Amino acid sequence: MGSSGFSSPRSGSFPEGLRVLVVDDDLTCLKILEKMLKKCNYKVTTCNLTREALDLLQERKDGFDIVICDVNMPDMDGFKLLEHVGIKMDLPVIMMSVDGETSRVMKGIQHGACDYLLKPIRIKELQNIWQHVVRKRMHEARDIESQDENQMTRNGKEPSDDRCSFSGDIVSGKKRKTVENKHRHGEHGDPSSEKKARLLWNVELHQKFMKAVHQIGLYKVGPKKILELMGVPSLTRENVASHLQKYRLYLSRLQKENELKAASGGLKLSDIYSKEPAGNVCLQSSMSQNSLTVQRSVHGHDIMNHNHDAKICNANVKGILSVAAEAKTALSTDMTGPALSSNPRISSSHSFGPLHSEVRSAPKIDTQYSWSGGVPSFQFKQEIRPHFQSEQLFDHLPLPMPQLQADCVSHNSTCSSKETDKPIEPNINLYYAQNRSHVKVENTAALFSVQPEPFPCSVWSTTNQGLEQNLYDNVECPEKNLIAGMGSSLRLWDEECISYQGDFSPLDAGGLVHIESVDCSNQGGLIADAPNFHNSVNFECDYHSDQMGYPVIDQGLFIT
Amino acid sequence: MEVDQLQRSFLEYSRLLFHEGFLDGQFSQLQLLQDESNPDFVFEVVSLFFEDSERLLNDLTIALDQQNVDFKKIDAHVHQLKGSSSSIGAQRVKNVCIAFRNFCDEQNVEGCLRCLQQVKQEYLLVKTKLEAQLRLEQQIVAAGGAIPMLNEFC
Repeated sequence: MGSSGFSSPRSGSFPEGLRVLVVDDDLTCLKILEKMLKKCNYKVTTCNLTREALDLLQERKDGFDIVICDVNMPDMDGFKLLEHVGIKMDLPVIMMSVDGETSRVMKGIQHGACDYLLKPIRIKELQNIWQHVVRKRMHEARDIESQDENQMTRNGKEPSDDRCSFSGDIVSGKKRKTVENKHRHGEHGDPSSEKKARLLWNVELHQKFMKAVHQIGLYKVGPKKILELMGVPSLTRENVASHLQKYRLYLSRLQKENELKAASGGLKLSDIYSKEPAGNVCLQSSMSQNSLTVQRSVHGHDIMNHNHDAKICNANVKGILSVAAEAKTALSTDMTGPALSSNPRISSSHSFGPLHSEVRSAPKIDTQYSWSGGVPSFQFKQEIRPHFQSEQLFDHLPLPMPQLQADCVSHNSTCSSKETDKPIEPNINLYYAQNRSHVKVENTAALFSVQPEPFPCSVWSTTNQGLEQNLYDNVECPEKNLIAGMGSSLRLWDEECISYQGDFSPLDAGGLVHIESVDCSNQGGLIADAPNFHNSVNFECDYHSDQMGYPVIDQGLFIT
Repeated sequence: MEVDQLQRSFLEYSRLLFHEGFLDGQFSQLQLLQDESNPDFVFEVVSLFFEDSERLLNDLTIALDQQNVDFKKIDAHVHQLKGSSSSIGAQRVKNVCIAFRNFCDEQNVEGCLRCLQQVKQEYLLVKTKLEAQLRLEQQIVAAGGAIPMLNEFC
């Protein structure tokens, strides 16, 4: 077989001649595998050390089509090899082990293995390994095509015509397709080392996206339709598809969060949580108190709530609640979040204080928020738990401040989720929502009975404080709050290295703004902050919000 | 001896080994792999297995003899032994390895020592039997016959 791979004619038919590299420190196994693969008419190379394998792969760049490697290797962890090979060389890698524990298998998949075989391996399992090669090829070809088609400069890759060859040259699509979770965020871009221009889902794009989604209806929506409606030439269907997926994930995340919250607090999240259309929706239903119109519509917002709460506390909740409530609505996963407006008084008398501490404890929040407001779904990699003492919070306020939560969450992340490396973009959005709530909050002082602590600055870095300050300052001016909040929150996130892994595009915050169509005069401030946020956060996703300038956007867009 | 007789003895013996759990379907896989291009495949693989196992058992004995037992190391060895024994189809050896690993997790030296004893025993047993089977095979081949295969265990 020549190095040109399968594209060159061979005596046999595909998959004969598939060039396999087998790596295992167990000589008995190695020998057996070699024999089996030869029986499958594959071309086998064996080695029993990972280093050796890597060297071989380096030397013969195009020399192999697929690699099979044992997980437990003495000189180097099989997973590392997996990363090297899978990512750098873009070859399909099959892991194998005697150990079939789900967690191990999961790890393998997450590191990019295209399959995980359990020893002892039977010959029929090896007969079909060629499918991985073909699949990869197909993905890459598809990627190349789509890349060719769209004007966006994704990466400097040029359409190549030897996609069909099995040579390991195909690098592009790999990142996108492989590895499930790991690369999910950077779907548009290349999460791995490859440098690709990423698609930045900025506010406008997101707004367009949300608009399109609203138009079509969240449940009937499809990337193609959205793409058409959006009318952005440089956007590809894939961009939209992944964005949509994130958004959906966010929504479902919110739902889960809400359910969680419902369980913990007295809130009837289910009531609130909703994909209900605009209107006060949820908020009202679950609130025992009228004042608490805040809907916990945003389930996901619960998380936000936590954060939010924290923030809110400081910010003199009063006005906040309502705003929050509204924000919540905006944030409601359903895009159709009830307009916050309707619930002015979101009596989110959450005790932000406590919340705050809870939030802090949340180490990794893994949430995906999708705002109702066109904020792209972002994924917080945080364990969003109703940290806040739901009891407390809910005593006063059935609805936690959604948006605030968001903030909290983000902050939380700072405290804890350093692991995540995604920018906390979503937070921003949430934050916005929060702000809104601030804005609207009427005097629900009563609701805010709990605000024991000042804004938990301790939890967050000073930025938080700054943020809080913002909140406070802006209490009077709803708009300002919103903006300020956003700005601060952005800052907060920024500084705290919120590792949210999400494709949250801060830009979407604009959506939040929609919530109340608040005209935040502070936009400037917000915007100013936005960049910070983004910068410090590791954005792995495509959403790079360079500008957080979210003008007040008509809420219509977000709250449907 | 007649080829037929040899072959029948061989089959009986193989069947016994399978029934008693010394060998499992994986061994049959190995037998299937043997062909003209590789007439001694099973023999070679089994020999490798013997070498590997003896080395591992030695290492294990030494490791468990230490003042401070390094369970991680022991686990690694057992893991390897488990891997190779399962590849060969040495079922009973593999099973002891599983128990062995559990004791390692628990950091139970006593348990580990017992398992080591057991695994050594099982290893010796399967070694003896495989050697006996291989001898029968050789006799068949020497007498010009083909080695029969036990289909039911594939």
